[in-house]
Amino acid sequence: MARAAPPSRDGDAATRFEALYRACYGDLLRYALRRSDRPEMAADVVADTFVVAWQRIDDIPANQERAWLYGVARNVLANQHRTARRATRLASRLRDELAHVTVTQPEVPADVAAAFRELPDADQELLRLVAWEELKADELALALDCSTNAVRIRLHRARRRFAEALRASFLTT
Amino acid sequence: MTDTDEQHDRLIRLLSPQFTIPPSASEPTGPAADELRRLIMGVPTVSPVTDITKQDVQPVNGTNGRRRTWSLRRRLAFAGPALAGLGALAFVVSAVLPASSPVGPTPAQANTLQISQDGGHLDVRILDSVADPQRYKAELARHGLNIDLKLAPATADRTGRVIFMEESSPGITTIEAPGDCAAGGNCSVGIRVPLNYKGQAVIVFGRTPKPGEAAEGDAPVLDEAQEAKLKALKGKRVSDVRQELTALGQTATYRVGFESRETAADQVPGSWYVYDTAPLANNVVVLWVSVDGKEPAPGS
Repeated sequence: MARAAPPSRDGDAATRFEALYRACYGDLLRYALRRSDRPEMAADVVADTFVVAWQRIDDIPANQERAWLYGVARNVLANQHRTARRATRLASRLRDELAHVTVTQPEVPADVAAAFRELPDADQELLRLVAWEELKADELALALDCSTNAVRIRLHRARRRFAEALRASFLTT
Repeated sequence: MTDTDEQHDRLIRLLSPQFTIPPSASEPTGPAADELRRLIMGVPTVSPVTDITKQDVQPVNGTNGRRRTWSLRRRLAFAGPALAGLGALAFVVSAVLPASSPVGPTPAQANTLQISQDGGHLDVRILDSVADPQRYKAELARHGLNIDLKLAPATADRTGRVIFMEESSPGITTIEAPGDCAAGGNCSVGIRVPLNYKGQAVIVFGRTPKPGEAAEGDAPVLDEAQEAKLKALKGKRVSDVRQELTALGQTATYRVGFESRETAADQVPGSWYVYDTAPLANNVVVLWVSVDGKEPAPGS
């Protein structure tokens, strides 16, 4: 029933995917863990994201693989939150392992955390991508599927709102 | 970036939780991570009618590796699966077109279905949500895709939206229209299919109810405890699950076989086992059942 895969997939694609997987797996796993309610849920995000990467290996821009993966993972997470879906069997072993992850919650002043939580979700995610994943403007643009210019403007505004929220938070405590 | 920005970034960095990850999952070469990679790399030569089993999946050995075929069945229930009104949610295994089938922006008939090509994808949206769904499937088949499109009666805000999606292998994504979302948060106005998608899928769009026809309600949003309760039904005997559901004031609707055929309760013996579940509106629970509690193989 299956049609033959494009010839390139047997050679170059496999090599590229393996390199991509080895280079980005750790970062993607941490990205997913930081955004999952339970560690084991990150397994499906990682699995689904890499499945898309494997199927679209020829579409992934060179030198921006990590940002591209975050962009896919972002959509996978959005679907996960929006849908009641079955866990993929593909990730069953990884899910079992991640169930043993120990999570240490950050110890930060309450007003900082409160100021951050007050921001719109989009601002929070943008600032997280910068601070946690260390994405630059062009990578943010790829991950968020918008122009670099738009990202710079959004980032500027998000930073400004965070500064204001921090100030307000300090004033009230 | 200013010094203030850097200070703020440092603060935000502090907000990140820290994780201690077991070695088998923390590195890409760890056993769990490496197994996932090998499983994923089996995807491209997927056989849509073969179930995944671990022993079927072999590592890919570089350029000389010959991939074994397998597929992953999964279901995605959007805000309102609307299963009950669909009749059998069967996989229709249509003939797979030759690889050389023309793929391109074939005009949709009577403008009922908008198919546009964008790079390596086809974007599919329903324009006329009271039209004949068979034409949609034919339209997709002309693009070499084995995707069954169905329509289910839906409330006005869900008309023209994707309300259920079931795919044999991952790859299909929904087209979101932020700002144009239904009350349940469903903003999916179409689907995006990679041109090289080789799986099978069932996509259900909401349509305008016919006169006298009731729209399907939204599937309930479950809290963690309810989800756990539903999940706990997996692996149990049908007779026990029936009792549990009755005690909770819920009713079951059954799916049988590889094609997930909707099957009447009296055709499902109590000695069978539940291998999967999903919630529907009106306290209805979908139970995927089989004789031995295993997900059915093709042909069953």
